[in-house]
Amino acid sequence: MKKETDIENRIDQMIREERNTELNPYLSTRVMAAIAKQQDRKAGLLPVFLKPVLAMASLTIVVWLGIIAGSAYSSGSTEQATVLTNDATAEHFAFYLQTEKED
Amino acid sequence: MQETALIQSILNGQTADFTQLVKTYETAVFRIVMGFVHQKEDAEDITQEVFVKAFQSLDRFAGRSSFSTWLFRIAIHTSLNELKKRKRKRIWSIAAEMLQFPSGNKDPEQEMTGKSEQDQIRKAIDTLPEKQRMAFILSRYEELPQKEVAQIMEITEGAVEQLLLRARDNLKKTLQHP
Repeated sequence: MKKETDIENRIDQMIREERNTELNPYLSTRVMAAIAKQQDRKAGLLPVFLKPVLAMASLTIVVWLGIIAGSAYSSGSTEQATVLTNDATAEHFAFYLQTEKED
Repeated sequence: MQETALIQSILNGQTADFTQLVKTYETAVFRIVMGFVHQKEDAEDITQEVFVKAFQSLDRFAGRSSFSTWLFRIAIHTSLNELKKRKRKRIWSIAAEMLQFPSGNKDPEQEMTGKSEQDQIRKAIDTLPEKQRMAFILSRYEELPQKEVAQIMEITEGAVEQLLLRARDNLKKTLQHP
């Protein structure tokens, strides 16, 4: 069995050693850097939150432009004429040459 | 600048003023955290976390207690939370300890005996009931008077005295019959 005073001395010594552990002299710089980093992250949170909203708005605009373009196309349609020709009724080429009549 | 004025200035957006508070209390917070974790690198990381938390919740500091009392409470809770996280990772740390070899500077046997003695004391402190441990660390590591320990723990001075006596008895019992 160990003596009580011996135990107390050993506890005191251990605590003294831990108390005297040297602290990183740049701890305050580290803390301030961590705070700045967190503030930057907070500032960047708004666009992240707005991303789906912006995506939905873009999609709506694209659909709306599509509808507008579609409407414009149907209202501005041009008339088309189709000529059906039958080669069999076409005048004979010789008619233009007029070689037969001259004979 | 007075502490209250300093806090007000930080709340008004002068973030850089917080450096003064960090420099004033970093050693005290570090010592308290050391009492819980006993390891320099971990204690520094937790000390940093304590100050970041304090900065984030500075607007909730009502001034009913002194800033140090409020800050030391954050230090205790952060340390205890860290210890809870560590419990889950204990298996890994045991494996890491098994892989460590004693340095060649001292007689290995002597070093092992010394180290195991210190480890025994640390373990004895760590196994104290939570309130006894808090009172013991605040009183012995930061050498705070019982009145201040009582304010931090939100109990009476008499209760602090009782906790300290019980902590001392428990430590002796554990270390006499390891």
